[in-house]
Amino acid sequence: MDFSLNEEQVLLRDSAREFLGEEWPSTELRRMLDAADGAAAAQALWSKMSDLGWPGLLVSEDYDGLGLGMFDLAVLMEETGAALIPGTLHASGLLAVSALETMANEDSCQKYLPDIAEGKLKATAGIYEPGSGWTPMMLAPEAGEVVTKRYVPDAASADLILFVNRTGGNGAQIAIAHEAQIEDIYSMDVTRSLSQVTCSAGQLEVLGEGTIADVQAVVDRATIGLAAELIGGSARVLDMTVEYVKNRKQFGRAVGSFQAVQHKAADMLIGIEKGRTGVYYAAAVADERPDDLARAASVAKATANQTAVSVGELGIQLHGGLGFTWEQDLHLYLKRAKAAEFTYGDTKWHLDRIAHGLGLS
Amino acid sequence: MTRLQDTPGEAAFRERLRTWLEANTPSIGKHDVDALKAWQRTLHEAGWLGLTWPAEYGGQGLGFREQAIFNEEAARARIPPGINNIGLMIAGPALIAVGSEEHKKRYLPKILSAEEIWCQGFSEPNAGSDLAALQTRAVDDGDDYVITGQKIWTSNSLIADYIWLLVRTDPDAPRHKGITALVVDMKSPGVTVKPLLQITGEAEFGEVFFDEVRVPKANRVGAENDGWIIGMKTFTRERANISVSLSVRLQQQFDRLLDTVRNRDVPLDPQQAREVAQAYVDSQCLTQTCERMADRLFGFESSVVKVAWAEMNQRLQRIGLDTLGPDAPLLSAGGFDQVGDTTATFGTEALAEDDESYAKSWQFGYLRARANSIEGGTSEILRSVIAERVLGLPRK
Repeated sequence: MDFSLNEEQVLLRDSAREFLGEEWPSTELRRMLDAADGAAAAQALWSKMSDLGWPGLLVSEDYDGLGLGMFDLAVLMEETGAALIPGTLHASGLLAVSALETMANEDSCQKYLPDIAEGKLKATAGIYEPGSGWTPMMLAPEAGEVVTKRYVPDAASADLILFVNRTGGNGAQIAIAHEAQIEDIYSMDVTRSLSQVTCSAGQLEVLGEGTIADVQAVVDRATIGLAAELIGGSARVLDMTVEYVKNRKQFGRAVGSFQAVQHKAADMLIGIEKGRTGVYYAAAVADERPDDLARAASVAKATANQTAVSVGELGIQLHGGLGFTWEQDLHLYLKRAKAAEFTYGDTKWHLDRIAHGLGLS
Repeated sequence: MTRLQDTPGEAAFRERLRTWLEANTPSIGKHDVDALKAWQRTLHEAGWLGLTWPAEYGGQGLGFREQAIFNEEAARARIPPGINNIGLMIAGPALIAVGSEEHKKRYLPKILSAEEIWCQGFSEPNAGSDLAALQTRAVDDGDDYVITGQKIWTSNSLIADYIWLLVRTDPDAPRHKGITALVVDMKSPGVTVKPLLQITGEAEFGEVFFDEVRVPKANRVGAENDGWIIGMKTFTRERANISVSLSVRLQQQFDRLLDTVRNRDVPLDPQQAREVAQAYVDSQCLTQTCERMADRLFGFESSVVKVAWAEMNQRLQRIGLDTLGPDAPLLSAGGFDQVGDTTATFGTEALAEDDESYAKSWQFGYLRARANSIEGGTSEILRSVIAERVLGLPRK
């Protein structure tokens, strides 16, 4: 197995880190959260990311994308997770792109993917429904019925909302939800928009068909991206914490010289290294060995959940009272981690899926 | 580019090795020293040992990737336990790094062929984690040093021909500056070894006593009083080599756990199933972390893997034992004699074939694994190493 980053991936990582450091420092993030023109800050970032081709990173070259793989995206998403960017890249460049490429017919791909790749069209996909739990087994919509999708990422600013529906048995469809009603859901993760979206069955424009297994594969790819964002965020929390405990002095010495503090910091690093491995492995599996995708995605997400929440909590602890303040960014990482923990399956769901795959249940 | 598959060269190496192992792997008990030595010699003569060692000393001049493939295939073939792991994994690599040309030519080939078994004499009763406190004294006497003192926790000392030893040559110097590294013949007059019984009832370790033992100065490695740096270099190589082999052993332990779980009459409850799934997640991630970090493991980052492995293995052993329910504490006749040992930090690469008594092997594993977070650096010391040397936090 080869986990090393190639030259292009190193360049992608380094340039992304530099770009986000300049374009999305904490002050910009705070402007998005607090200022009246918050949406403008997010839109400005989106335009600049689009210039770099990020929304089309996964889109195949046939549709004017960069045609890169999940491993490349994971490398990028560690950086975007570290910078706590809003959810448009995840929703459009990963979730919607994967859904379209997996399930939509050729004409629809031709029609929408080039604009998505260019960033002109911001797309998202609704999969889960109230009561569907984390297994995307939705009810088939019937004429006259209203379809409700819950936990739809970034729908409020999306130009194209896709619904992925179950059509009976193991069949599934992907459709555009026209005239959709969007209702904000307030997530603990204030840096990302989440909505409940409703659409009448008559307003669904079907773009293609597939199976429930296709839907799960789309979700598994999005899961790996989310796990990459969590590990990137965790690494940033550790950097902030190391910097703080090196400089903060009590009892006449840096608090980072106390063993009780040192050992917590060491545990943060151990979790991050394991989590990063889980993400890279799953991304490589998505690119090269799709038959193993489900289990690899579950390993990545279960580990990332645990690492991100524990690192987020320890980061606050090691910053002392300062870590508990609104003004310090640490709470934003913990909130991201906690909300993401319950996205695309919580830890228990993923462990149960692994146990089932191992024949233990 | 493909990340998950062997390169064509790696695949060919693996195939050649697998075929050879299938044809040549014997079954040998872990206490049959002569047969185990003969097996190591066979492995060496076939070109499968010292894979990363330079060719001029009997090695193969290959990379860590080939070593990792060897570990995987050796585990798969359940080869007998290694009899000279301290020589192969600690003393040999240390000599390659810091030994003189003469020492390398003299000792390395016989480490590979198992003609000479090695042990390592670092720890003392009053110098454990605080190694620089070591007191075993070497007094300058013409062409010799005269050594008096005691080493402890010395794996393989009961069968060793040579000991890789740290001694104090200058008691007046600052403590890190008066230490010297020596190679000592265990048959020298004045060396006595006493077995040290462990909580498993076995004596894997010994205590080694030195009573005015004369050692020629020619056996000194590096300059006099340079032993601390040499000791530290030994440690980084030790941990790197441990890490490369750990991943495979963890995988074996998890497979053994699955085997145990599937052989139970009663299915796992959902909580137990989740615990096993969690162990799968963690052992997968850790196994692959060893591979991902392979080129960084000669530095302090090997501590990351060692700490995580020790705790992971302890958890696996506990889950295995817990899973057996009321049968867990039952011990069949014969104690742990026939139980394969993949739980030690320098454990063997294979499980013994005796899988009849799961309870017995999980009990042994559970008890033996208590040492994992102590041997090769306690987890407390290593967490401080990670904090100070990897993360750059200030020292006291």
